[in-house]
Amino acid sequence: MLSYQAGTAAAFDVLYARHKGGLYRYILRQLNNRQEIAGELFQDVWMKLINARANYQPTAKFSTWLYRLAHNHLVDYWRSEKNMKQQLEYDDTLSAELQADSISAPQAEIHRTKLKHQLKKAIAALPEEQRSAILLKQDGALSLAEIAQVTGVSRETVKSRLRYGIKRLQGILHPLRPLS
Amino acid sequence: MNNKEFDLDKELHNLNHRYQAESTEKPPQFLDKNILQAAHQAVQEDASNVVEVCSATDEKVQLIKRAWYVPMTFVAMLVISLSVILKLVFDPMLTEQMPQMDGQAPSTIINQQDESAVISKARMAETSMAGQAAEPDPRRQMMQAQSARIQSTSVQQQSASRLKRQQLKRSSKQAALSTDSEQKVEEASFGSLAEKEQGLWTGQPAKIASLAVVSKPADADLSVSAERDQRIKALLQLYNSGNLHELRPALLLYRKDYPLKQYTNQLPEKLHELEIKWHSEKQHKTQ
Repeated sequence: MLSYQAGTAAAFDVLYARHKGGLYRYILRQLNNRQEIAGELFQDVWMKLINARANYQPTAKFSTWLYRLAHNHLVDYWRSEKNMKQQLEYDDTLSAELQADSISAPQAEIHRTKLKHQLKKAIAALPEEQRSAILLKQDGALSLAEIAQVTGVSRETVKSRLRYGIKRLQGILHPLRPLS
Repeated sequence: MNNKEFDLDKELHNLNHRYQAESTEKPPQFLDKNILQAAHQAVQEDASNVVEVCSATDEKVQLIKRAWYVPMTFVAMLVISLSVILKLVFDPMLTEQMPQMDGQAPSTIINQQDESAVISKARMAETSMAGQAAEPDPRRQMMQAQSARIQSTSVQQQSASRLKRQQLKRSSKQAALSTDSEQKVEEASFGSLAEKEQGLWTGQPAKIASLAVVSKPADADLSVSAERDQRIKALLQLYNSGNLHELRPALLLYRKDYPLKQYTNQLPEKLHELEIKWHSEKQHKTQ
């Protein structure tokens, strides 16, 4: 990021390649798999980063800074009233995959697909704080302290959110397939 | 790390395995293209802005280099003005030319000059009158007296105006002294006229005028006592010479300048006795 700040465009390419997948999935899961909105917010987050490059200071990890930008942008998005209803609606377009697969695919494949969507649906069903904590841990690979920095809460709060989130996931996913 | 944290880590680890295996979504390619393009453009704009700023500063530097004489002119003007100011402040020659605020004021010099002119005129009048008969014409005497009186009053008025102009700079004591003496000289001139009406006019107006002028402090530094002493000396000279006709008006003039209430027993005994005698005679006449 410092190289990019100094004027090296190639440094940004490396940064983008490293973090684009995790950031995109984080935003996607937060928006209940709504791909159009996720794409817009994803682009907005990177544009914010580009515009704020002059003010970047390496006081924390780059990933912490990036996910903080993304988290704040999501919060701003949720705060607008017209988007509140969309938050609750899970994008069930994935179910179309299931229907398509079930026609031609073998049974094991169908079962695997079912499980994949089950986990995503279960994560989408979590409360926002627990979901954020789990996704930042999974997609962002952030530590507890870094998650606390991104979400603006204490490390202990993050720990309890993770614990409760995983318990809920276990409750949702069991008895189809435990997390382990 | 306690057991709870260990369990949590274990569960998160298991979740991670499954989650990473199942989360394969990637951003669309058009988003990648847009974002990378925007990032590269931003860097290019930065570079062009830096070049513009540098060129602008270069232009300014070149402008200053070309127009070096402009700041040099300002510096030169500043130096010249400062040198003029410092010269005015610290040059002793210039300060000496300025009018003196105390001590030997030019007005005193002017007063001295006036007095000397009047005295010389009075002496000329005396010499002219000395050439006349023992009992001169009263009409001519009157005219001579009037001219001397006019001269003395004009001189006194001029000196008084000059003194008043300098009263702002001197102490209140000197100013009061000078104005008081001026008023008394003027009164003395009127007093001499009154004496003339009473028939005590001796025909020596110039001497009285000169006495009146001399009574005025010539030098600012002369104290009141020194002036009084001079006048007493003049009175004694008249007494010793036996010139009682001149002594009487001079004595009256002296008493007007130095009233008895303030200056008791200042005259010599013989003059004081004469003064009492004349005063009693005057009272007897009025009764």
